[in-house]
Amino acid sequence: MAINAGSQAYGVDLPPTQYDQDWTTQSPTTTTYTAGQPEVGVNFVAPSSGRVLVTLGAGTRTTTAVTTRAVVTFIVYNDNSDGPVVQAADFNNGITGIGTASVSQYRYVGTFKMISGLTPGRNYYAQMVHRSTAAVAAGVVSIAARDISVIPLT
Amino acid sequence: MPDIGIGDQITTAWWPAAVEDEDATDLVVTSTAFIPGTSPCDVTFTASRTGRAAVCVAGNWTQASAGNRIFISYEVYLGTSAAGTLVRSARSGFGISDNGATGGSLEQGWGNMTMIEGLTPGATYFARVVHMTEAGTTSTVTHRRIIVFPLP
Repeated sequence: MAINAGSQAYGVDLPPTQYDQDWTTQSPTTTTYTAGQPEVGVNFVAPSSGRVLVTLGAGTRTTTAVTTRAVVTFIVYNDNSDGPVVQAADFNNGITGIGTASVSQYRYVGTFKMISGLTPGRNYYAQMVHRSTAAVAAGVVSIAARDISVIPLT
Repeated sequence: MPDIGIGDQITTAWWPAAVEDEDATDLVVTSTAFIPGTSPCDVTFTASRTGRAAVCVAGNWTQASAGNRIFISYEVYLGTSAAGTLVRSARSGFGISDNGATGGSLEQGWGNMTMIEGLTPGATYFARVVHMTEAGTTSTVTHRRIIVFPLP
């Protein structure tokens, strides 16, 4: 639903921006997406446009000279994480990084993805998820400082 | 500019639609000048009444050897194509750069966001992702995305 000239703005036109963040180090060991512990996610209300911007931030590293990388992305559900998936986890929607090349330190970066076609006024849940690009022992691939924002767009 | 309150009248030029495009075509990066590549990733958008917009660029890439950096940025033209007047030229500082991962062709990806201002309210603009390498043929962009949305 687009905002057109002469439209009345209601409260739902610009619902609040939502944000969540956690510093707990995550260490994925498989190629299956997991929300981790604690989970980082936000409930949000879709604006009249049905469009929101999802921003992600994370620090990723690989602690030994292997080719495995961390992948940090997100899922959008109707209502909550038990609801139908609106936007599945997608490698291309997230962050992938091996850390700094020589000393295996965290590289902190962010990324952006627009979600469109949401039902105005409906509740959604955006959940950060992560995985490894290959099966590795715990501690080889690490993720720090996950954050997610969901910003209503026009 | 006043805040938007409940019940306010919205005119199109205030808050035109946010737009996004993405492309998953693998493009080998050989150019040492910014180019859009053979599979474009671009949007047309309407400038808001503030003349300000945010531009997000995100991508994924691989590098066959570490060293030569890849740059992903964007440029903005007046009108609906790159035939129009260039109003924001591509700069590495408005985008992403990376010098590859130890171990060879490992895909990495992230994004960046910048603001553009001084746009003509209500005018149509064209924004596209461009990329380059500083030397050599060691990089491939595997995914590109651009998002433009109006700012207060």
